[in-house]
Amino acid sequence: MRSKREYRPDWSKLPREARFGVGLRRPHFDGILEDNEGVDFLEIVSENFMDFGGRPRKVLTEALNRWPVILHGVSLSIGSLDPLNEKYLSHLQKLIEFARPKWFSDHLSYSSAFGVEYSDLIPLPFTEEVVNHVVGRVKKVQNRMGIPFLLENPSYYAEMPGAEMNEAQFMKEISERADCGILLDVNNIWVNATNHGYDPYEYVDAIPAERVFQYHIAGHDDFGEFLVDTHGSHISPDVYRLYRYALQKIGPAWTLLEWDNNIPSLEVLLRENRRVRDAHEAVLGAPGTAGSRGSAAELHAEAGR
Amino acid sequence: MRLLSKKRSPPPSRPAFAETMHIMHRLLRGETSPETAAERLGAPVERLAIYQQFARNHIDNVLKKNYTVLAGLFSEQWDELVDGYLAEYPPGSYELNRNAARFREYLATLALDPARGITEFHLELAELEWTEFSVYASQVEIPTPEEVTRPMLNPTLQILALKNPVAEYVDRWRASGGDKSHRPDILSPASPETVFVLRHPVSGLALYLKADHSLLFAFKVAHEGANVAEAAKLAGISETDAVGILHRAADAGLIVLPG
Repeated sequence: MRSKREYRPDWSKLPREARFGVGLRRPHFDGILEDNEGVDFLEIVSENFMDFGGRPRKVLTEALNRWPVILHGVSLSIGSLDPLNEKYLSHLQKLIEFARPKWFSDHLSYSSAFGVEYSDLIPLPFTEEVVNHVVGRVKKVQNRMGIPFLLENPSYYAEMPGAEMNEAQFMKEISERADCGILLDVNNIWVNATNHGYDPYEYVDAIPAERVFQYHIAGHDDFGEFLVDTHGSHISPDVYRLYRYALQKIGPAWTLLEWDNNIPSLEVLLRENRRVRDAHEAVLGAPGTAGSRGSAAELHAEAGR
Repeated sequence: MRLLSKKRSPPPSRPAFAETMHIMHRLLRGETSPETAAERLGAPVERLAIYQQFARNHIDNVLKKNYTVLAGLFSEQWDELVDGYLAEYPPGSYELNRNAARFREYLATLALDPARGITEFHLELAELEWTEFSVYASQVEIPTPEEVTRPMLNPTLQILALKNPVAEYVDRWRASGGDKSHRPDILSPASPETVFVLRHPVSGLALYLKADHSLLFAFKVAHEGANVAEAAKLAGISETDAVGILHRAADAGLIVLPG
């Protein structure tokens, strides 16, 4: 029996434009459909809608009538040594068929192993062995879903032993060999760089710009010894600076404001979304315009480098 | 470009990927300490400890979220219950809430030991609280009034026949705002309850209704497809009153009336 032809994303067809979105979260189910100034798209956490009928499905249906909605997962567990979870993939596929997103994404990590779900993102060793392992799985998943897949750089607090490359090289290697896109989480870069003592700007420099189709931006909290990617506060000035730098180096892409803990009022969320848009416009001008472009040197200077 | 973090002390030999994953698994499952894991992984103890805390906190939070009243009642032994549940019922669902599904089952095993103080009341309370989640998440579609030609039961409906007045207790609990100093005492099991748990067709919220005569009448009419006039006559009420009861039951979400 002949196997189905492999799906190869046509990256040239994905939007490379400035769009600003927020996560569709339960506390805002009532308000977001009415009060949504400045929201160009929504992102959902796939698992929060995959097995849910009722209100989540109803709100998603209404949202789909107004916005593009993209899917962001936390439980694909792309790096696990367990087989890919067939039930998960089946439910994800149904959600993709329902929501028809331009792409879907998940994290370069694992969240389950030995049949147990951790509900957290566990770091992978930056090794060739893991690159080979993940590349194969990304290809399988992208092929199965038939739409572009973006891998996100996750935050991590402990580096696994035996690294043969750095974090940015790890992401670059996998995305290029698997032919997937990158969801660049700017806050995660900042958190990781602070926690592991590397230069976040050099991380951005090392990422293949042509594969970045989305940004995540969020708040973090300082736990004294290290930063934690809480998604529970306003975006820090450091992360805004890094975001502006990424825009300059990489270019425009859809930017999603993540706020998952201490979820604020819709008013506060939309105000922060406006700040993200302003940060973008300060670098690349208003979406759809030539706009002003700060030089890389200016941005380096702004970053104090 | 310096992208590698400094390690405290290099491990004696580099663990393979599979071993790394196994060590992290044991750490996340609470089967090994951050100190022991750190020895092999060469990572700072406090950084590994936070992963162990994350894994535990996820279960703690999801249990508290789905068993709010129960968690309040068990406040003093809660941590022990969370640890026991996490150890004996490894999370198997990629959807976090569903990892709380077997908490009642876990409590039932503990209830076999009377010294634990876990009673039938607690088990029924767990059942009620979990049922609220399951009807909220249910993928069953509720027909609109335009889609029905006669009174229909809300298809998300689940009926609990409880030996204890659990719903009454939850009512009092919620009225107290969960304030520890004003929490109601557990009620005696003298008054068993039938409770309807459902997702409201309009709000989409999960709720429970204590079955009283009116709701039971509406249930009977919708369930049996009974003629309203005949059902009213059998119940000894006027047809006008019967129609009023049906409308109130529809407003409450128990049934769907033709629109």
